[in-house]
Amino acid sequence: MERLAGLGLGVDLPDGWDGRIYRRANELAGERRALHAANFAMPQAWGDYGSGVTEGMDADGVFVTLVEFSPENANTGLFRHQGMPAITADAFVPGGMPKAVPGQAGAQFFFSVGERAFCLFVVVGSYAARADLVPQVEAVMRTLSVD
Amino acid sequence: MIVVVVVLTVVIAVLGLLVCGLLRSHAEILRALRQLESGTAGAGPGPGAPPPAASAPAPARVADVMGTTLTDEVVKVGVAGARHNTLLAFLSSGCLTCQEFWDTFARKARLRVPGDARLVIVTKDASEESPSRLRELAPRSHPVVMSSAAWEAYGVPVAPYFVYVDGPSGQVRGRGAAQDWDQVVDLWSKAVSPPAGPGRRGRRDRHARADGELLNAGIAPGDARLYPEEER
Repeated sequence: MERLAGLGLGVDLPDGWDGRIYRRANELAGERRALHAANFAMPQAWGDYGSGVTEGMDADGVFVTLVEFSPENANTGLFRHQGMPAITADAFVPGGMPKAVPGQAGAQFFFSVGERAFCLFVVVGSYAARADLVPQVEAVMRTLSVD
Repeated sequence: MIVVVVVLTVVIAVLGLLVCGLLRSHAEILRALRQLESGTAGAGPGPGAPPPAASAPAPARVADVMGTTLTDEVVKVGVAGARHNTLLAFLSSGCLTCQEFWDTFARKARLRVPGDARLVIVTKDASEESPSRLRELAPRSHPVVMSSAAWEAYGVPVAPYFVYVDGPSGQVRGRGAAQDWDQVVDLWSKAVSPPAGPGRRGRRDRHARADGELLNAGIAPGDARLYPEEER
């Protein structure tokens, strides 16, 4: 278990997991910060919400992206929920992805931590096996820290 | 006449000695340059360097690679415990022998890596490298991580240096220096094979097969027929 930390975000990742914390310019949102984590080798090219990553994911893969929105969104509207929401298998739906991939399922959660607003988007490689896969994500995100 | 022949012979002998001396001096300069490089840039194996070793002296469980990328991302690359094997290529922006590998990695996006391993290039931290030079050298198709901690953790003595890690077991399968990519491929092609077996791979295959058969039968994820008991 190693702790990945940067840009005021931190998370413990199990052995063998890939992770990255980055920021990049975004035409609509200005600078966007994000954290990616996956239990497989993430490819070199990717989108904030996992395009380029999830398409090749195996059935027992999980991919997590935590995208930060501008602070004025914090504690308002979609981001009204304070603190990390519960990540349960029930939340996952097959069509819950920007680009549907047969067999996969996704779930999206909006929340705020202090004055920072986040969208957590999770994809599991198999909807049928979500009961096995979602606890892996839940265990990782339980270690999330936001400064 | 005899005097002229003797004088010419002496002159030729002296010139021969001079040429030998120059050749020797040139060789010493080259050797000194090589040593200088190894002292300042963690340089590669010289002409007399030992051949790459196919097996580690003492296989040990290893760590994942933590570091930063050339675009300032903080990254963790899964190595130990990963489902795939990993070939770590420890390179430097400064060493001459590394240039061969940088060129090869940049030229061949689809590189044949022994055992279908994931190739990960590891340099030292930005403070010990030339990041601008690394940006010129770095291939787009393979991750480049700056991590002096990884060099230390893996006990890397020189660059270029390679460590082959079996992902599922987290064991080092081999380590050593090499002069070119062909040597790396030859070294490990016979020694390693892709991860296989009935473990996670088997479960993954079963899930994929089940998903495929259900889709062929017109039953997509979320289909009510998948949950008959919940409907009652």
